[in-house]
Order: sequence, then C-alpha cells, then structure tokens
Amino acid sequence: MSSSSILNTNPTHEVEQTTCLNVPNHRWGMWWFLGGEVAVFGGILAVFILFRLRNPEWAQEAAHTLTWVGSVNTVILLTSSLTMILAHHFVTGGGAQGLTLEQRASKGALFILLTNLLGISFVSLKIYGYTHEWHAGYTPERSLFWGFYYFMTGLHALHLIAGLVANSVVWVNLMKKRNLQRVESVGIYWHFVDLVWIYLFPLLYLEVSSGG
Amino acid sequence: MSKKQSFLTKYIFSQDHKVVGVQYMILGLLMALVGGYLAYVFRYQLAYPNQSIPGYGVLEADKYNSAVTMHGTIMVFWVAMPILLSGFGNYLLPLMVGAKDMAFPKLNMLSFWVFFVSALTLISSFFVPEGAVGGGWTTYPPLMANPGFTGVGWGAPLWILAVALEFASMLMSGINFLTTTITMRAKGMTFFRMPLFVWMANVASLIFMFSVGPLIAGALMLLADQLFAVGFFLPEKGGDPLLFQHLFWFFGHPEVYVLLLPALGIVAEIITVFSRKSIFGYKMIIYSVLVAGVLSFLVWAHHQFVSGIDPRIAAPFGLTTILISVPFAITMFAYIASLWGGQVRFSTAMLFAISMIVEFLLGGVTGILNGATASDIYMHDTYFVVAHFHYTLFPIVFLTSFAGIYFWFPKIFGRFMNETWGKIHFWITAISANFVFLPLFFVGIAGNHRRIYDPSLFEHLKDFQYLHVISTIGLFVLIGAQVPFILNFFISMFKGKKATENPWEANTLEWQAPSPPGHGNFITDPVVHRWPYDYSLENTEKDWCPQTEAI
Amino acid sequence: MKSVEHHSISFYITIWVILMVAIGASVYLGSIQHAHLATLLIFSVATVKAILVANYYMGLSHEPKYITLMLLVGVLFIGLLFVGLIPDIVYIYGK
Repeated sequence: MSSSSILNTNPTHEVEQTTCLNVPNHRWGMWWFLGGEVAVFGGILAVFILFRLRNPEWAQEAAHTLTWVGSVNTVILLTSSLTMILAHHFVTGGGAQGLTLEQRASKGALFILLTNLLGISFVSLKIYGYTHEWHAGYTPERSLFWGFYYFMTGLHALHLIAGLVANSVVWVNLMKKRNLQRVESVGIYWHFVDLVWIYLFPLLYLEVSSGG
Repeated sequence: MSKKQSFLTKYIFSQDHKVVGVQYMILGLLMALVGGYLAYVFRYQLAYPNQSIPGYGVLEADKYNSAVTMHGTIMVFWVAMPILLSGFGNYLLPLMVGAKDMAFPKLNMLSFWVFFVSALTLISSFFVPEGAVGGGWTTYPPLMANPGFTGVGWGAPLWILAVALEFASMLMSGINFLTTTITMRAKGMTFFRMPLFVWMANVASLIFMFSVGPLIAGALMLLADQLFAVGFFLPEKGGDPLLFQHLFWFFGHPEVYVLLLPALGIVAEIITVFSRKSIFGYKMIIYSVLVAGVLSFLVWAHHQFVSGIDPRIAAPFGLTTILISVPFAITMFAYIASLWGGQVRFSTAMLFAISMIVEFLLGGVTGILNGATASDIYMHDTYFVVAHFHYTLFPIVFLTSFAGIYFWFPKIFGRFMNETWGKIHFWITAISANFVFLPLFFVGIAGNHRRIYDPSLFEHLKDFQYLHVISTIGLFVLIGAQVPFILNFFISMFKGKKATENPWEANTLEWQAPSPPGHGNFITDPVVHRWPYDYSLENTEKDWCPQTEAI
Repeated sequence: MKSVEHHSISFYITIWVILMVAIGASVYLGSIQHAHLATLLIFSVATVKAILVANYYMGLSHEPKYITLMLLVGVLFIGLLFVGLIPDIVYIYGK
C-alpha cells in the first residue's frame, strides 16, 4: 500500500460472484430494481384507473385508439418474451446442458437478435399508431385521456427502448463469449416491460362501453 | 498494489465504495454551504426587511421565494440524502457486514456521477433566465404546472430534472445496499448480528424504493404539464392539483424516515461505544423500525389537512400519524436506556449524538400538535410547522452527520480530528441552533404565515419582530461555528494525530480493518462470532469484545 | 433448497400459445355488450397473463418466495395509495 495516500483504495475490484438462497447478485439487484419499477408503473396505473373511474365518458375516447395496433403489438411483445426466454434457455437454462460455450453463445445471440427485431417492430408500429392518431386530431388538447395515453405508452416505450439498448450490449457480449449471465438480467427486465404492457393494453385499447 | 492507479481513477472515477462514500459526503457538505448561504440570505431579509444583505444585496420578493425553495430542496435532497444514506451507507455498510466492496461497484460509481450531474443541474438553475424556481420545495401545481404562473421558464423543468436524476442515483445506491447486505455478509454475520446502522440503512433503502415510484411518475406528469401543457394537474383541463399533493407526500413522508433511520443507526453505534454499554433492546429497535417503515406509508395525507382533502380520510390519517410516534418513542427510550448507568465517555462524537437525541425529541413532540387534525388547522403553514421540522431535520442531518464524521474520521483518513476544536464546534452549534429555531415556534403560534416575505407589513406581527431578529442572529452564530469545523476537517486530514485501527475500542467490523482500510477492506476475511454490542463485560481484561473474537 | 429448475422448450412454447389465446380472448371480450362483465373478464385475463409471464418467463416460480413477497409488498403499498385517493379523485365529498 502506498503510504502517500489519504484514502487507501481498492484497485482491482474483482468482486466475486456471491449468492444468497441460490440467487446470485445480479438477480437480486434486478429484483430490487423491479421493486422500484413496480412502484413507478403501479403509481401510474393507479392514477389512470382513478381518473378512468372519475370520467366514464373516456370509454368513447378509448374507442378511438387503434385497437388493431394495440393487439398486434401485444402479440409481438409476448412473442419477443418467448424468444427472450429461449435465449436464456440456451445460454444458462435447461438447453445449455451438453452445449459448448460457443454453441451457447451463438444460440443466445441469435435469440437476442430475434427479440430485438420484434422489439423494433413494436416501436415502429407504435410510431405508426401515434402519427395516425395524432393526425386524426386525437392530441392531448382533446381530452386528458389522450394525455394519459401518450404519457403511459410513451414511458413504456422508453423502457422498451432502454431494454433494446441493454439487449444489444448483451448481444455484443455474447458475440465475444463474455458475461453470459447477463442474458438472465436483461431477460427479467424485458419480461417486466412486457408485463406492464399486458395491463396497458386493456386499459387504453379495450375500454368497453361504460367501464365505470 | 497490483496495478498502479492514476489520481483520476483513484479519487475521481473510483469504484471503491469507500471513495464513493467520501465523495458523497464531501459533495453533500459543499451543498450544505449553498443551502446555508441561502438560509442566511432569507433569514436576513426576515429580520431586517428590505435592507441590503452583506454578500448578496437587496433580496427581491421573487428571489426570496427562490431562496426558500432552493434551501429546502438542497437541504433535503442534496445534503441529507447524500451524507446520511449514500455517504455513510456507502462507506460503512460493506465494512460493517464484512464485505470486500459493494455488490455492484460500477453501479456505485455511476450512482455518484448521476448524483453529481443532478447537483450541477440544480445549481445551474440559479443562472438561467428568470432564475431558480420559487414554488416551494413541494412544487405544488397548479402554481408549478404552468410557466405563466411561476414566471419561471427554465428553473422549474430544471428542478424536476435534477430531482429525477437524484432519485435515480439514490435508487442505484439502494439496490447496492440491499444486494450487498443480502449476499455479501461475512461468515457468521447473521441478520441479527448486523449492527443497527446496517439494518437502518436497508430499511431506509426499502422505504425509498417503494415510495419514490409514484412521485417519479408524478414529476414526469408535472414536467409534461410545464412543457406541453397537458394538464394532468390543471383543473381547467380535467386534471386535479390534489393528485400531485398525494403523490408528493406518498413519497415525501416516507422520505422523512429515509433520513431519520440512517441517523438513528449512526447515533446507535456511537452511544453504545461511548457509554460502554450494549444497546438496550436490539431486536425491539429493529422490529420498531420495521413497523414504522410500514406505518410510514399510511400517514402521508397529514400534510394536506387544509388542502381540501376529504375529511373522512383526514381522521384516519391523523390517527396513524399519532400511532407512528410509538415505534420511534420506543427507539428513543431504548437509546436513553442504553445511556443509563453507562460509563459515558464524552468525546465530541458522543456529545453530538446525545444532543441529537435531545433536540430531535423536541421536534418529535411538537409533531403531535401538527398530526392532530384540529390543532393542525390552526398551525398549518405557520412558522410553527417550520420550527417543528427544523427541530427534527437539523438534529437528523447536521448533529448526526457531525457525530458520524467525528466518530469515523479516524477510520476514513487514519487520523483524529482535533477534540478541543471539536468541542468548541459542538457547544456553539448545539446551543445556537436553539436560538435559530425555538423563536420560530412562538412566531408561528402568533400567526406568522411561513411564506411571508416581509413580516413588518403586518400589524399583528410587529410585536414579534424581535423573535425573527433573535433567530437570525442565532443563524449567524450557527454558520460562524462551522468555520472551526471546516478548518479542523481539512487540517486533520493531513496533520491530525495518527489513529490506530480501533481507537474507540468498538466492536463492529469496520474497526477490525486497518485505518484507513486498504485493498479489499480487511487483511484477512473476518469471521463473526457474536453480536456487535458486547460492552461492559465482567471478568475480562477489557470491557468489550469485537465481533470477530470467538466466545 | 433445490437448484434452479429447468423447463423444456416445449414448455415455454405452451405458455406462449396460452398467452396468444388469451390475447384473442381479450380482444373478443372488448366487443361484447355487457360492460361490467366484460371489464371484469378482461382484467381477469390480463392478470392470468401477468401471472404466467411473471412465474415462468421471469422465473419467479423458482425464485425464493421472499422475492415474490417483496414485489407483492410494493403492489400492496400502491394499493394503499389507490384506496387513499378514491375519496379525493373519484367520489368527491359533497358531489
């Protein structure tokens, strides 16, 4: 240790992988993060539901959202969850047994790529839906429902884009056969974004005539 | 050292939890200077209305609002949070559980730098056109939802951006604390052998994690209102300003406990060491804090008794507010019982810790008057409330931080702070704080609304102007008393008396590491055999027994 | 404590098929006339979907139960916020 330093510091930072209850660090971290995210999206959904109950006439507004866009996007997103879990399956899950590191990494990379392609199509369709609705006059000016609509789906889309970025990083890692356990972390996050959409879809696209 | 580090990677972009902790503390102390300067500016205005303030000039009414708003924001989010939770938490938590570092060192570094950017964002809002926001630290809409109302084009969005970044940074810290505590404890360190500070920091992180979400959502909605006039909180567009108050206080009240809990943890560690007695009711304190953590989610609407909330929900919230004082009363009694009959060593750290208990009690007891719906309707938004929360937050933030700094300074820098100057600092600080805040109770009961720019304009307040003058003079003394502290801090860093690894004869694991702790914290991996509070032992040479010593 | 449980590919695809059927059911339910029943059913279906995703895709089913508990506590606190806001946002006093 150098005597000149006021603070002796740790230069290497090779923190070993530790676990508790068979759950490794990276998964604990991801679950705590999602605990925070549950409160963010839970808060938004709670507020929207309250306003929806206060304004029964919003059912008519919901009829103007493009239901087919919402439905197709739900299919796309849930399918992307399937490709994501398959990536995990081949990298560290049940399918990894008997595979070499190269095989695991390349199969994982393939499914991550598929997930990202599906994610990009989700965002593209979303943008199509936005422009279509916006040009048809359904802007936040019209009613607060549209304020909520753009706010909630927009925040969800931002989370999804963050997921795309994270997936891409993991894809690069897989191509270099490094940090294979990261597939699991981004997977849990991706499924969470999916889970939020499962509630956004009926709330914003499927409002029946007098839901209150 | 295996790898030579440059100054930049060692002290600036460091992933070492100890450096990150110290960075948080120092940035927090610097922000405290800004917050203190703002307090000086508006207290001067209140005592001597419309005079030129030395070091500032004449304070205009809108700048007065900015000063008050930014003082509150800075002190809560940029002083209390970083010093108490992130600063002490980052430095102490891995050491106390016997870990080599945090679970995610890179995330830890990112957390500090996000925090740094948030501080810059907030400070920059002073210099944008129209200046910093003046809507109060609670930023209630509709005032804050429309630039036309605040007259602030840039300040308000910058405020929201800064707060959002700060929340993100604190969430990262919280994830690190919880994961580190769960997975990286030393061998033998069971949950009920962890020092109270570790418990408190984790419960605080949990409370923060669960409560901040709705406000992040609310803040983004407020931003949408400001920038795109969406109208989530504007009645004329179908929105509801009460909604924001609810979202704010759903976070804002648990936030009080996010600050209080680490402070209680620091005080617990200090009083056991210096009273040479084991903590009274270790498990009872932990259970009390867990109960208080749950209750803290059930009290938020007591901030809104006069906001036009439904009276049918005001009553239960009044009840839960009185209830939540019970677990904290238990904790306070446990601390006093820990002092009782001990061989108290009055070091500077101990003096600050005891003064924290005393002054915090005064703040806690006056809270009852605010929690009871009936008396709150009279007290609300007067200086009584201001005095109440300053009597809670000043001990939590400043007295405790000073106690912690004097106590762990030998560990952090390997040298002692000067005790004589420390005691001078202590006596002036602890006494003058009462001159600052005690008069405000009386001003408040006399009916002085807390957001009045110039009290001399009101006939019924003229007789009480002398109390404002006392308070302001008290503040001059309080700020002056920090000069010896700052000098002591920096001089002791290089010239102080050298410290051994366990100068206070304490039991917790951080004192088993070298001072300052080096690579990987501990020379050999610690193995824990006992709880951290074995003091006043009989039939042994020393009256204490470190956690690493076998039974 | 048993180590991580592994499912087969066909298991994940079965879950996916159930999810696809559930989407179809939601869209169909959106068009039926009985509003209250439809709302109830749509959100029940959504909850079933959410549980499937959380349990088998996110892997909560083979994580320690503490993690599920922790997430449920978060949901519970949001539930408290929701209940506390009903009188002020939905059924406003005196209206």
